[in-house]
Amino acid sequence: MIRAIISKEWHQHRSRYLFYWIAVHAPMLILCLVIAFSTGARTPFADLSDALTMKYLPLSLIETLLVTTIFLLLTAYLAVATFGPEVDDRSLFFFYEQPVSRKLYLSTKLAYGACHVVLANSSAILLMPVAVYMMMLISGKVTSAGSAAAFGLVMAAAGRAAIWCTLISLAGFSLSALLSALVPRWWLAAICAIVLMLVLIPNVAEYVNYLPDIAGDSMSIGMNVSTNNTQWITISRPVTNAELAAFAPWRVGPLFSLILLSAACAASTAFLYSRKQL
Amino acid sequence: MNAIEVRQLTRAFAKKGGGQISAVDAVSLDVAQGTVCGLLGPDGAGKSTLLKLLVGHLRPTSGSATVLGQSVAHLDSALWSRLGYVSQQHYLPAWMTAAECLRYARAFRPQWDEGKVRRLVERLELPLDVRIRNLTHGHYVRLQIVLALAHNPELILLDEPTSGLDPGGRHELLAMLIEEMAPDSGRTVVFSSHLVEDIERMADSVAIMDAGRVVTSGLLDTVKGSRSRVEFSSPIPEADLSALPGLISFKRATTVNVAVTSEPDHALQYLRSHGAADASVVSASLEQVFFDYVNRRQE
Repeated sequence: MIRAIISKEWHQHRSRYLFYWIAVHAPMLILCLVIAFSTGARTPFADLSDALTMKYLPLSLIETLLVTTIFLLLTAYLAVATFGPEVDDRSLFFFYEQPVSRKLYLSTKLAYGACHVVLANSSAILLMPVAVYMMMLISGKVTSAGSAAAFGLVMAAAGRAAIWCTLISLAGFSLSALLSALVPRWWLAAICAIVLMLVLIPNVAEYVNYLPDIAGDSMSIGMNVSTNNTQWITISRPVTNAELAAFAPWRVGPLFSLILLSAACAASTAFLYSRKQL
Repeated sequence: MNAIEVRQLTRAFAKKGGGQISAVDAVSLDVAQGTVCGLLGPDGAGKSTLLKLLVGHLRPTSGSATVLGQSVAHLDSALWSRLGYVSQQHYLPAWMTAAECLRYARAFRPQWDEGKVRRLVERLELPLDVRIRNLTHGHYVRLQIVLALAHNPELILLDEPTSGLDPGGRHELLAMLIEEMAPDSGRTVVFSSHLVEDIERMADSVAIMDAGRVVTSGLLDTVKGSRSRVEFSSPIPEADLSALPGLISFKRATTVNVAVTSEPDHALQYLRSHGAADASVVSASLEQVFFDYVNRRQE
């Protein structure tokens, strides 16, 4: 039964999920393409060496910021689009007419969408440093023996950040799914969910803050993208090991709150959708 | 034993200007197992709402109902493996093809009869590879019927399945349904329609609905027998007519007067004694009975 629901979910939403996967991996894909085809883009790597791995490799953690800001809006849309259209065209009731409990059907839908969000986001966050590191190794200016420790530190930070970011995305997903159960038209619910995320991102950022406290004047990152420019990205100094270790620390309160919020919103969504009437 | 038992079931909706309107108003009805019950009523009589309440797509405002022994207030989803439902509303997933839709439904029903599905698809000339959004209304209804019959359910609820079909399609569909609902199948069928002819062709019993209420119900012949037409041509004064035994309605036509009465024998006697020697009892058709019930309310 669950297999049939999952298979139906995939057929119904495959273009949306595919787009989502491509979108969250877009920074990595764009980076790879730009570096492959533009010599200008490779300039920041000109002074690359084992010793300076820590200057450039942590840049790959920028994906975490994207996942919890721009891509969170996409996650909100995905959640609404997973549920809303079935209510708008009333096909939800065809699925309710199968001998499977409404709650199981809805839970499977929620879990399936949540799985995509978790896998897409964590893969984007974890693959970005891997891709950047691979490029560094391919350039020949970095050796695996000389940079393994730095790579390990960055990957550990990416791993912790992946947990933070997927939990934030999950909360955004389930909150938006809940909104889709409350707002009558799915496109209206999508707009409401995106607006809600825009409001929540700056306001909740302080509470779920997983970024290390780096003194503003001690480090600067500049970007100037143009074909005539010799250096697209300038970084004043490498990230220190201590700063990287402080990235996405284990903070039980906010992490637990995100889990609780996701679970509560998912349960409420399932409850509200199961009470829908034709 | 009854497949469906409805007691004082009411479903009210909020009206636009405030207040409430009861689409189903204190309906009580029993449908015996293994019978075909026709729900007859004009548009807006509450037939679809009643069926939606019975399958759990709507929650009742008050009252109770059981379907195959289960209360509709706590309907177990497993009931859908014993139930087939054809809705008047279009809500099959438009993005699926007819074949995908059938495949999806099959995945949940171990008793799915693939041979029967193939036979029905062939007979109804249902195009399987067409997306549901591109199906004609006739094909859409046929797909719904295949979905409703494929797992040989004990109870089938059909909400105006012939509505919007051309006469040929309607005839073919009814013939197929009659075959599928052979009396020896033990299957209970509730069939709603505003077409008297369809009900008369299919049903053993009938419930006439109007303005959310069941105005009469029973075996088809009993309901038909509840009203008789007495026809006579002799003029009789209005004052005498009002005392006609069991008088329900009276219509004065150019050549013949028609009195609808619940006591035909007494009425006949009365009319003859008042000078209408040509008075005779004509058995009423279901259509006449139906219009009598519906028109009486409107008057």
